[in-house]
Amino acid sequence: MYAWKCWRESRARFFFLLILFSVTALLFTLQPGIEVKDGWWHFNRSEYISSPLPTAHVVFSMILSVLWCSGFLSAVFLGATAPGSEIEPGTIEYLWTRPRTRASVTWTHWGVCVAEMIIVAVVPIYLAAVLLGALTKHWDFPFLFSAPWMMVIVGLPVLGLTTLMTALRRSASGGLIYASGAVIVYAFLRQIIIVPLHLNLPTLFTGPLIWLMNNNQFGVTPIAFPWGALGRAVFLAAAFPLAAQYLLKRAEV
Amino acid sequence: MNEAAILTEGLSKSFGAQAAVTQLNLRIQPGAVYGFLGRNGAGKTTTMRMLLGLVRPTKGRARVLGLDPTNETELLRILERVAFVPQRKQLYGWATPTELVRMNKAYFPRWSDDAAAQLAKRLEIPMKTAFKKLSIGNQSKVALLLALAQGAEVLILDEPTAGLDPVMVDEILRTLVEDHVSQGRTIFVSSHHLGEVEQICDWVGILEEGRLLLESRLEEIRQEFRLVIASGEGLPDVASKDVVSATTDGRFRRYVVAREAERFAAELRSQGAAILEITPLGLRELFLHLVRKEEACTPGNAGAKAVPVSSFS
Amino acid sequence: MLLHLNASSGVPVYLQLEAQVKQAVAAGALRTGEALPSTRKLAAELRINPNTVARAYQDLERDGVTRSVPGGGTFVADGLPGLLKSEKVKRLRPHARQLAVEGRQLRLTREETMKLLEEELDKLGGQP
Repeated sequence: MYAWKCWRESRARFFFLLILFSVTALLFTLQPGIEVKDGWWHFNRSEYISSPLPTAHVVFSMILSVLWCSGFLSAVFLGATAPGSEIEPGTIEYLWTRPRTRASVTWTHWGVCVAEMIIVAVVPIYLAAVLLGALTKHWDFPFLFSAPWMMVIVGLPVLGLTTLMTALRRSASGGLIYASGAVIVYAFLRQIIIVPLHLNLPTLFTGPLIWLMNNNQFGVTPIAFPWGALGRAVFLAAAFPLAAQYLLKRAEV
Repeated sequence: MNEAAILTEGLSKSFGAQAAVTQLNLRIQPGAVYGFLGRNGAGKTTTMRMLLGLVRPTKGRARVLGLDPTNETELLRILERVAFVPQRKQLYGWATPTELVRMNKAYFPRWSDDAAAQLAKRLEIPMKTAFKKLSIGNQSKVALLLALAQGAEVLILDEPTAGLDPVMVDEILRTLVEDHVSQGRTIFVSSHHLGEVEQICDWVGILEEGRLLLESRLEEIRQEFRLVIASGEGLPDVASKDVVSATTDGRFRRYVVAREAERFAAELRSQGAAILEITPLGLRELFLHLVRKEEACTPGNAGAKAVPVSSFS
Repeated sequence: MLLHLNASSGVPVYLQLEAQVKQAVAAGALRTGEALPSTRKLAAELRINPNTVARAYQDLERDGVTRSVPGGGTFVADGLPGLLKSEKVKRLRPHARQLAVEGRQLRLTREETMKLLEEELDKLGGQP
């Protein structure tokens, strides 16, 4: 029943993110065809039919320019309700006196978050793809279909980090702030370090997303898929929650 | 089965430099109803939390149903058979009591829907109102409901009747006696409602600043414990191990004697003291005598001085 | 069951229960063969520990006021047929002595003490 509790508790945030991203994606899909004539909006399908590929490309770029953070956002908002967040409000005294190991509780929550993250990433983009396909009568969008998965892969380490921060700070708000803070500070520091030192540091784990956004542009040399970054992403996606699991196992409340 | 339901040996817990529980030795038999008394901050809650694995002992050990709460596998088995009502009865704010019951039921195969329904009715709980919108009293009742319908062999209740009106307290006592004590379940309860403790408990333990001052059957307290008030010169501080406490109040000495009060009084008389009174003690009086710190002597006040109490068990 | 408890009387609960049952039997409110509530039921009604009720019931049975049946249940016994008159007198003597001593200490006359006893007997009603 704990999985149900996780779902029920994150339901509002989940729907908020899902609807936000879906509406954005659908609007961007329609954007090329929207024109203002005689003081009112009209939809003009000609672009979609006449040049499907470029239109699809433009749409996709627009969607990606906003939804790239979907993985991060859902990871941080959904992950903040990890078990550690129940310590400060006091419901942990109930949760941890049920006959379940603390590890199973941590990973159940993680699993529910992953499922929600996948839906939040996949649904808006696939909805946009369906709409785009219907409008252009063209159905071959390689990057569009793989994009949500890149977002999720990149979001998983952040989910783990948020779970860990929530366990450290013992509250949902603490977890959210410290996790997003850590990501932002790290990105910032990385920029500060690599520019003056002329380092070409590979990204820690955001490689796949960058690969996606880079290769999507026209006239740019496609870069190879960053397997290293993917490996690091998978490693951190597991390492952070494991650290949280260890912390919580020893925790006294 | 001779094995104690709850056992602690030298159980101690310190939070940094602060000692919360010191060398606690408890042995609660299955089927006993044990009242755990003490002032706020005496260490009752910490003790209970150690039994349930929420906090780890610094020294000593605890066993619940023979199992060790610091061992994760054994703790799981404890939690299957023990129901707990924490001091801070906090549950998920967004959930209604009905949803909380449904969530809780899934953990316990021995859950009783009938007991839950009966309790919800007796305690007049608004089952469809979100927890965060309930009054504190109602929130407590929900926490109690979840524990009492669980079908547990051992109930560990931390101030279960705090903040409840007398009618509700009465209903809870009734439920405890009817559905739990009668079934031979063990109840380990801490409470400030001494009158109620006196009614249903058969054992009582008094904790003060982390140490067990006294542990006794309630029957013995009624039948054997006496308050002896004497006056005279040079009265002894602590005559024997049967004298649980001795306080001075001006010319008078108040002794709480655990047994053979008449003989003790005779001894005092033989030393020239005048015995003013030998009376039985209610639980509240006994508790106050044991834990109240008397005020220091000041001019104009006869002054009452507390004498170090011999740890009695 | 018309039993109640006085928490502040200083008298142990089980003694109060015993006294009330004995009084009820003596006054005829509880008749021979009538069933007393089960330990569990009475304990729940009075909100006290069942052991306390059990103790009182045990004492009542020992005193011959009640008897228990193998199938379960406690019933009012019928006037102690098993006890010899001499036994009954022996049991009552300490109470009589106490009445006499206290009456003397309070400087009541013999007539006043006897009158007290007669009044109490009258209150009980029932058989002469």
